[in-house]
Amino acid sequence: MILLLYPVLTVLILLLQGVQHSHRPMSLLGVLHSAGTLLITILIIARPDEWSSGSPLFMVDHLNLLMMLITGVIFTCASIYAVGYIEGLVMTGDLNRRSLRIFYIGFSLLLFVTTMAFYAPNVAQFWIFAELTTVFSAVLVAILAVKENIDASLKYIFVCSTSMLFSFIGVIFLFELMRQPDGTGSLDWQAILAVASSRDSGMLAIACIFFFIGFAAKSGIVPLHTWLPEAHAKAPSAVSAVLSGVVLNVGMYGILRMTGIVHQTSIASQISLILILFGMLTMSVACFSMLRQKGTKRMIAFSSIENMGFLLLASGVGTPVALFWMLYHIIGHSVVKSGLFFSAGILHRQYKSHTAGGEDHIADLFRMQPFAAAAFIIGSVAIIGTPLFPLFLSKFGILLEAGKLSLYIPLITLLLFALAGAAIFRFLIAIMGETFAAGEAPEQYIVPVWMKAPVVFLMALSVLMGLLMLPGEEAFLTAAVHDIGISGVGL
Amino acid sequence: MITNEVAVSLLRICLILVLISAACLLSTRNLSSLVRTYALQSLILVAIALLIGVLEQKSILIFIAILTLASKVIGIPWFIRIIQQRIRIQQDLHFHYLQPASALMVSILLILLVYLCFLQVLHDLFTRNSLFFLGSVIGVSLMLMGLIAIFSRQLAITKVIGYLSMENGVLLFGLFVTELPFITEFVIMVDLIILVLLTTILTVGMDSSIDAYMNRLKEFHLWSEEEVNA
Repeated sequence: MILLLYPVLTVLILLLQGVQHSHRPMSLLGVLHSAGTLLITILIIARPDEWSSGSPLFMVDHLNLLMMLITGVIFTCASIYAVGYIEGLVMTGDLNRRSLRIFYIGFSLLLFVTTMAFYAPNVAQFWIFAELTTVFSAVLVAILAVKENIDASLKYIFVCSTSMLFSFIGVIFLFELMRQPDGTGSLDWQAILAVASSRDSGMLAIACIFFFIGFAAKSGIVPLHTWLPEAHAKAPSAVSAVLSGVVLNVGMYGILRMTGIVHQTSIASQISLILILFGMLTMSVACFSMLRQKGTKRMIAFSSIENMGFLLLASGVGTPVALFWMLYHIIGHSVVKSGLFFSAGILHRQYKSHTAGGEDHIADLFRMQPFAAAAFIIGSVAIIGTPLFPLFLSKFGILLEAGKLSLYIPLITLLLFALAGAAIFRFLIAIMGETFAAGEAPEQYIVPVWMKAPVVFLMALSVLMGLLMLPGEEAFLTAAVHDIGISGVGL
Repeated sequence: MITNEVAVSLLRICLILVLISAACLLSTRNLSSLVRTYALQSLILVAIALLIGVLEQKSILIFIAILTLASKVIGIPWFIRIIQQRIRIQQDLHFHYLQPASALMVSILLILLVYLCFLQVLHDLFTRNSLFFLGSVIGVSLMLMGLIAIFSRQLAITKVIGYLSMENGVLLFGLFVTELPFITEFVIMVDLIILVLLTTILTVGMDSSIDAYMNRLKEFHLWSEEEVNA
């Protein structure tokens, strides 16, 4: 019954937001919604006897609870950050005051549809909610109503929705595969997982490939990644963090579930090969593109593509250990990446370019924004997988597993990681050396504490995660890998 | 009532008409006739749903037909026509990558390719009912032709029509291959309507200048109402 608190909370928050007129109460309601969602998730995790008693709209297991936990944390941080950030946007006139309500309602709805997508018990329902996440996040990208944003948002909708139609063809194939002679059939994840091995594997392969097209687009896999850098770079930073830290995971979650199903059948090795190839391709394109980026947020966006490619590679490797580290990498990536987008948002507020389409000119970094500079550097160190940070452990674990398949995979991947690291640090060194000519410096932007707190929290969380396994974390992740449908020796 | 033989031959005719309408979508430059073609294509889909309903004695298909009629033959084209009047663009003259003639050639190749692929995968369906096999091939082909329309057309509003035509292809494929529970079809329709609303609003911004865009949203009452509902 706790599960029904999610829709109840959402309806309550939406009603209250409908009658608010000023910014502060609306943004605090947003914080309340995200924090409430996080709290409900923690309550559910604490009471495993409630898991099976949900309504037909929900399916609860370790895997989607893990995803929801990430969603709750990132959304809470983003909504706290938004209190300060959006206020700044309204004050400078970047955001129309009348769009505020649309923004917060869109934000709450995005949280709700993401929740529903993760808990969806069957493929069709998952598809619908995943499609809705595209719609609401596109609203949030377009909210600034500048031509570039509308452009980015349109591209996002077109690329993702057209690919999602292919996924729907995949869902239809799956239904045909699952259909009983009397015309009824179930698309439940668990039902498919249970009977997949007894069905026609050729048709399952076609269904999977169609299914992967849509969710690959949602998680920014090459060649369907073109929307990602634009949407993530143009969106307000609070939204970029959510897009990178949560919405990309929706796509990965779909791919993970499908990988589990495929692993029950004889076509697992062919599908794995496809996943590994596209993972490597995605990482190569992303790493080489990072070398020539000039904008902070575009750089971080390409790094998201790189990490998604790496996750795809891990799902292709497909051993329990690789999937364990893949889930760990998803957590680590969401935490670190949101922190990076938050600090990039502070830099953007400080150094905003006043010519249309121009890149921000960052200079006098440590004098003007010492906090954001430090956070950005720590985040960059974390994202490339330096020891002490969580991404080091997961990269290490996945590459060791991949090495058992072929030594070329870790070799090439390590080269690509080096390239990504070089790109980020070349960028950092370039902006550190800049200084403003006398009189040209913009006025210093005073960072509200609302914007600092989430950054500090996320950085602390990532260091903590990298230094020690939290109590119960290992068992939880292992159970989640088991939920995907892949169990075996090694764990 | 219509006998089964008549229904089958009518279905075949409808399937060919769907392909012809898709070809028109790829080559027409005039925006209002594009919308008309799309409405016509949806109408053919309604007829197909009804005919299959007659053939298989399934009342659920009647609901799908009514839903399609209300949303795709009347609702969406009406909405797009209003938008077109506001942006005062009548023609989409330029094509990227593929000119209409080569787009049609590519489409023919795609149809053949889909046919050959499906012959491998769906051979059960082929031996059981060759008409339904043909239907599913044409469904996926329609989808791919919509995809060609999306990337060979320049204006966002024409791309929207390409997307809608892709969605018609998915519906056609679903009708012939299997039957999904009605509720799923319904939610997908609602989802699509939201998507079209949103995309068309954004399209106004793309195809006209940005200052005019804000004013139009205001006179449209879209800024405060529809988008919030979406």
